Amino acid sequence: MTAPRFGIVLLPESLAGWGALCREAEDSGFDLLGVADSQSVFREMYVALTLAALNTSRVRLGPLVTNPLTRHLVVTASAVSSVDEVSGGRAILGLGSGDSAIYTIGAPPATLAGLEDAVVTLGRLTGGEPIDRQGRRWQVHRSARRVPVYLAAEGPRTLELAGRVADGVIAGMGLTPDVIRLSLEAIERGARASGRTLADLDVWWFAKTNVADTRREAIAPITMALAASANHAFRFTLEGKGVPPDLHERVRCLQREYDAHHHEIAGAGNAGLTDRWGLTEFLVDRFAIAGTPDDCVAQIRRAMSAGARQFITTGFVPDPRGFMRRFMGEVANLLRGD
Amino acid sequence: MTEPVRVHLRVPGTAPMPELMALLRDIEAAGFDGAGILDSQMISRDTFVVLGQAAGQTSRMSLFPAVTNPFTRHASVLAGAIQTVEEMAPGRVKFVIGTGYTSASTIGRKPATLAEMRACITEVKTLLAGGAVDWGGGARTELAFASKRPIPLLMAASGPRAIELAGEVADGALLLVGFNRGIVETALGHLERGARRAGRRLEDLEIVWAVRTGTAATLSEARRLARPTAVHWGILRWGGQWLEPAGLHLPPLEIPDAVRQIYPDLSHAQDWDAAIRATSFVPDDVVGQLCDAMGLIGTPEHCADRISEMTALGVRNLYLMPFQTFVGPEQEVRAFRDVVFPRLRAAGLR
Repeated sequence: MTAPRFGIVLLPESLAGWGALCREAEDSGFDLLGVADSQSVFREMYVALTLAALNTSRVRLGPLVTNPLTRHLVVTASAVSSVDEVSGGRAILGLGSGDSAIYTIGAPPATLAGLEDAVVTLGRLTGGEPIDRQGRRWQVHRSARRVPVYLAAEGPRTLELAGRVADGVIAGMGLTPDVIRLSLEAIERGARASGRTLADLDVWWFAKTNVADTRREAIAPITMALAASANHAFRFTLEGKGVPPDLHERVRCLQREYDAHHHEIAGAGNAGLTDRWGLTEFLVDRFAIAGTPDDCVAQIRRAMSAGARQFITTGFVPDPRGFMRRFMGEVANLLRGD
Repeated sequence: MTEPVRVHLRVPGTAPMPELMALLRDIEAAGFDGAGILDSQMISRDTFVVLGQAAGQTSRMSLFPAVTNPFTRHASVLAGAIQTVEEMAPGRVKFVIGTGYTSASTIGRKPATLAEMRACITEVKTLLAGGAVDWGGGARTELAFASKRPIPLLMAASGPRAIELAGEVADGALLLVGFNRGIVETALGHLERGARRAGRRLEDLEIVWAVRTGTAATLSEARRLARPTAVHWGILRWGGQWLEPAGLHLPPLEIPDAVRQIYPDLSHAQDWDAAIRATSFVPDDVVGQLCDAMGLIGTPEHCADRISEMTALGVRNLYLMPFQTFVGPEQEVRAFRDVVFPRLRAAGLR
């Protein structure tokens, strides 16, 4: 079995020390560096990415994830191409239907058709291809290279769409073996529909992560991140997503109480929701790689047994530097021999 | 000494990023007071990517998007983005927003309405001040990281109603109207009318004159190079309502098709020589009149003298817009550093 690869999403909660944090992510051995996009909560993602690009030399980087609604598609294409230029061709474009970025402004998430259009259009625009629309020719003149588009997908239909039209997938339906298999089947269906195979897609598995001396200490600081997963991954439907029926109502209750203004903020209002609705254990099992280094290794090996190879971790913890060092130094190291 | 003349320069993000950063450092070293980074997504690098990087490459001059618009980014994105840049360049950032020109036309939409401008300016202002905006549908949001340090919010305006709105709702105005006595007096009249609607006076506003600029070794060469912009402004009547206050009386001219085929338009042409050729239907003396009314076109000495003259009308804050979007403003940087700034200093205006 090939050793797994890891990426990380960082939250630009401040730009003081941000460049050094990104450099440390690269030095720790992460292969992918994502920056979260939530304009009312975090610093402007494209400015944060520019600083990330200037402070690193190897890691691939991009929005994880942006949406097709808060910026016009041509602005997104132009901005990610600008980051691609600053980084010397290391940019990727992670796209999703919109989470806190749109809920905080009362906008509905992108539809499947909207996402498909965005993935295809953004790929073409960054590739310098002209697109005729609204009686005008859209063309981003300054792109040097087509920036690969990764679609964040949390259900079978979006996973299938990603397989059909995207270059990569941020698979977010969960990390249990049955959910991974369901996800891969959906991605593969999409890939086949466009004459490709699963091997043509760069698939990354999104995991809410933390590592500590005890399992309890690892989980406590990321309950807000687990609540975000429950809120987001199941927001349209719980059908076809492998959630035990007896938990459906509790997931709905959590979603009703979720506050997008405190999205992914440690210790803020959403942190207590998973315990209140008795969902913590289910959500850890489903969405997390969290615990002692040995716990994390076991969870990763379990996911790998079902076909996952690349994991995006989350630096959504009070000490992201400590997390990066420990995760890559201990967990990734233990897996190196796999 | 009277209040000094401040001079800002437009910088299109059309050159590779390392060149752009070197240019911005040169602009600051040459003595300019600020740089406005073009926001036109199809033809220029992303304005906030450039501004974010420029913040770390400069230390004194002000930085602003020039000019952004209310429709290619949500107001909450605009507020977050400008606040982010301000955090990297504290006290040196302005926010300049207009109805959108090439940023609108290249995506097949009309410029923003004044109602859209009013809404967006109010929203961005509220968010930057730490207030909450109600977006409808029960969504009410603050900008979590609003520093509450003042970021001047200027509205770019070319028409009378837009200028009045700027006077009413913004902290100031970037006036792209032209640059002679009649135009300046008329524009100030509109701005004052708007300011009064909000119980304010002209003195309460930051007024920046956007001035189309082109210097050359001789007056005739400067005017020849300015042809596409002059014709776009005066003959295609982009600046139509300003021709009368400017005191211009132009002969009727038939506009050939070639003029409308220039991409993205005559005054932003990628092929400037082709654009100059397309204006051959306009006689030299007409171009000369237009140049004098709309901007600073001539030798550097001529431009310095024109600025000195205009200070008599209270003009103190300039935003130079070199003609060519696809050629950097290096020529103007040299001309102002070597001739215009020393002359203004000698006149006690710098």
